[in-house]
Amino acid sequence: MSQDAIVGPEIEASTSQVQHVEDRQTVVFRLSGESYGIDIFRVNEIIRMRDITPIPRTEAHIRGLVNLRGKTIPVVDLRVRMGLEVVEETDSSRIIVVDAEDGQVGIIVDAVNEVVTLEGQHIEPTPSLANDDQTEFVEAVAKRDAELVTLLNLDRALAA
Amino acid sequence: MSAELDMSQYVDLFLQEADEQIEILEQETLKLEEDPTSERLQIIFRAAHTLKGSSRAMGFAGMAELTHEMENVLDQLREGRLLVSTEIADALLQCQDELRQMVVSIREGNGDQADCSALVAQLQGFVNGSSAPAAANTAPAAASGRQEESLSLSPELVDSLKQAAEQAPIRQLRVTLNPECVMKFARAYMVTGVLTEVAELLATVPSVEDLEEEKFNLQFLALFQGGPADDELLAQLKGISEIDSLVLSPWSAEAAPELTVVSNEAEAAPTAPATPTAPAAPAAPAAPTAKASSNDANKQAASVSGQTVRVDVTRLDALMNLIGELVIDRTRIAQIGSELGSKFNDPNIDALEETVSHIARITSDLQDQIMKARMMPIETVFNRFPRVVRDLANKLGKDVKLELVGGETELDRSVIEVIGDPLLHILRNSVDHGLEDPDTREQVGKPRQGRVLVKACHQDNHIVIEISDDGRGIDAERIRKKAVEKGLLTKDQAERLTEREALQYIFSSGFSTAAEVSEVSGRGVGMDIVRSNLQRLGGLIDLETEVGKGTRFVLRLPLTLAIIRGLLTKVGEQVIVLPLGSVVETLLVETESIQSVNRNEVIVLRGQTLPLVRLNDMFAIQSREDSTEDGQYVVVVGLAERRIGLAVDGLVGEKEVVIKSLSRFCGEVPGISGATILGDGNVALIADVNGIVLKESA
Repeated sequence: MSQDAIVGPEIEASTSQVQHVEDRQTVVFRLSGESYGIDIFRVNEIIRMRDITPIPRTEAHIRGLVNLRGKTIPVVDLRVRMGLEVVEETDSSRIIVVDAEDGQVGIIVDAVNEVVTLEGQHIEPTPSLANDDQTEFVEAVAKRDAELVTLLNLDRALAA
Repeated sequence: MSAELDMSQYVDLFLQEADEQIEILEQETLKLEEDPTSERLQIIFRAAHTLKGSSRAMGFAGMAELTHEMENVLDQLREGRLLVSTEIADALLQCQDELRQMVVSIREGNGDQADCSALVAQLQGFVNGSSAPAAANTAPAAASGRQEESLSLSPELVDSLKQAAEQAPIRQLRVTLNPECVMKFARAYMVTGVLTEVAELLATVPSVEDLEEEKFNLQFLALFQGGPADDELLAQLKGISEIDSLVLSPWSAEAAPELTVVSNEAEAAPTAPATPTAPAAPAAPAAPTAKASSNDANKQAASVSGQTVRVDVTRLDALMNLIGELVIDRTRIAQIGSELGSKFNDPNIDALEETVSHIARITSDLQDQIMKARMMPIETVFNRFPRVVRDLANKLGKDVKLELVGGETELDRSVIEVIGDPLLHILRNSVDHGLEDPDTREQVGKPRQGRVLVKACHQDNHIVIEISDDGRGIDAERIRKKAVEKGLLTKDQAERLTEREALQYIFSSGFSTAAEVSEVSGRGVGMDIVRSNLQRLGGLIDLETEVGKGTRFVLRLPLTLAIIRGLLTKVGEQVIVLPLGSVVETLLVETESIQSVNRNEVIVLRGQTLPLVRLNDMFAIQSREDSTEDGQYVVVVGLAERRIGLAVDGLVGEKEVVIKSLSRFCGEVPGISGATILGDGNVALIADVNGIVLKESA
């Protein structure tokens, strides 16, 4: 993903064409060495890092505002939100613009890998009891080849 | 009655029209008591009639029934068999309330649910009680004269159609209704509705009013320009039931005089399709707008229909946003141009700069135009007032004369939308608390009728709205007392307040001086909300009062909430925009002249001590280290007579900025009212200067 990739729902899924009811097209991204996924229908676009204007006196995970073609949208640092170690952004860092309850919101991730179709049979919902920072926002875990993809509950991750 | 046609596409159109007609009903009914002329009754009658027609056509039987009864009463009034009384006016106003309710309910998809049997009975009571003609049989039926007019195409109509035909070909549609059709006007209304929507309807023969009153037989003509091709149009019209034939043909002036009179033909062969070569056109006594008496005087004026288009407001908003983006890019290009200019010496760069400045002119014209398109007269807000004041005055037993001045003053839709409630609140206060009851007024030597004046006018880039009454005024002494009672002030503090300062306390929360809590106002929630709402809009509210003489509230609001002129300041590495309207002056003060009082920093400016607020502290932004070397930049900002100094690290310049609201995602951010995008593409925050001044100078 070296280009300023714009990934929209129109991009074909790269894997399985078999349609189960619960198959999920997912945008897979990296965060702190692990793979995470967001439902592709929530993703508007993926943009490169750009200047972020901080907003004073807001919660720590709200990094500020960016200019998205003349609109100003708030950007959330997912590492801060999930209580992960905060690191400098790199060249591969991206902002995923998603639809949230209060309009568009950008979330900063380490890198965006690909769009995949996760097969329903490989998705396991996580027990809802867990409530530490890192698991609070997890909706399910999917197995893909040898890798685990944590599916995020976006609404909870972006809720105040 | 149910048409096979899918009505849903007409519902919006219907609701829009219903709103307009109800508005007319209300406005005119309110004036009726003072001035019951037959013209006015005619207007009201027509509005009720239009509503009846369209609601029937849409199948809203409840609304149709109510308007029908209204119509009966109005008819009696019009013919002088009933006289206008307060009871009748009240009943009519209640009907309008009911109609509004129905509109709301229809809009929500619930149909015209409402039980108005009591109202209907009341209306019927008026009509039945008046079977004997009243003594004052003044107004002859205004409508009756019309039937006698000759059934030939009026020369004015031919003239105006001829002129319109020079711009675009005119087509005519001949509609023949089924002889069994029970609601001819409803069918006609649906046909003209479709034509108005997809094409430009120029005229109907007979006129629209006559169609509505069913003053036609089974055929009528509609003349129009533009719109879809014949087949397509016919397909759209086919869905309307009870129509026997539809014949489309081009219209030409030459053919016009040789027309057969429709009524005869219709009686002879109601179902026969008319020959397309002989377009029929019976009389149109009242040709629509075109009164082009001097034939070739002005072709513009000759186009028969009105020169306005209805546009969905969301489209205007979208347009406004796009222009906002254009303005941002324009600034960006200008900046790139000047950067290139300082690096290279190339004639192309000069050409670029020239082009950019041309684009700048165009975009700002564009901006002006779209701003104008979004402007609405404040009348739309004022129109609610007479009714409210009337009801309130009745309830309180007061006699109030409301004067509205400057209703034509225009301001942006965004402001119109939010200004209504605050104004209404102040108005209620004036009637409830401000004005005395008639007896008291008489005792103090005032006319029994109290006077409330609402006046709007433009002032610079602002709109100023005044609400004044000639009531008892506000006693500063009472406010001082009350503030102490409420624990807002100590006795000492209260005594030190100037009269003006004391008056400001009516804007504090939980403050009400009304002796008793009334249903109308006086719960002590209100003026504080009014003020904070206004301030959020960048507006100001002030009041002047004189005990025994009256009170005057003055509101000052920006014309638009979309664009402001801003002073760009540097705070740390960030640019913070201060609305220029709040900026009083900018200073560079020596660091030593900043003093400290009670650990709060102040500066002394021409003998006045101003609190100094460091924006970098306020916004937790790291200050630049070199910033204090040659002194401190201070922007003096003000709200009404309050002044404070804002310490910033540098001044960048003055720019027009497009305001973007902060995403709700961020919540309420103290001190920040919004954001904007600068010429370099970066986002800058806009400071809520009014909020800061209020907080810091309190």
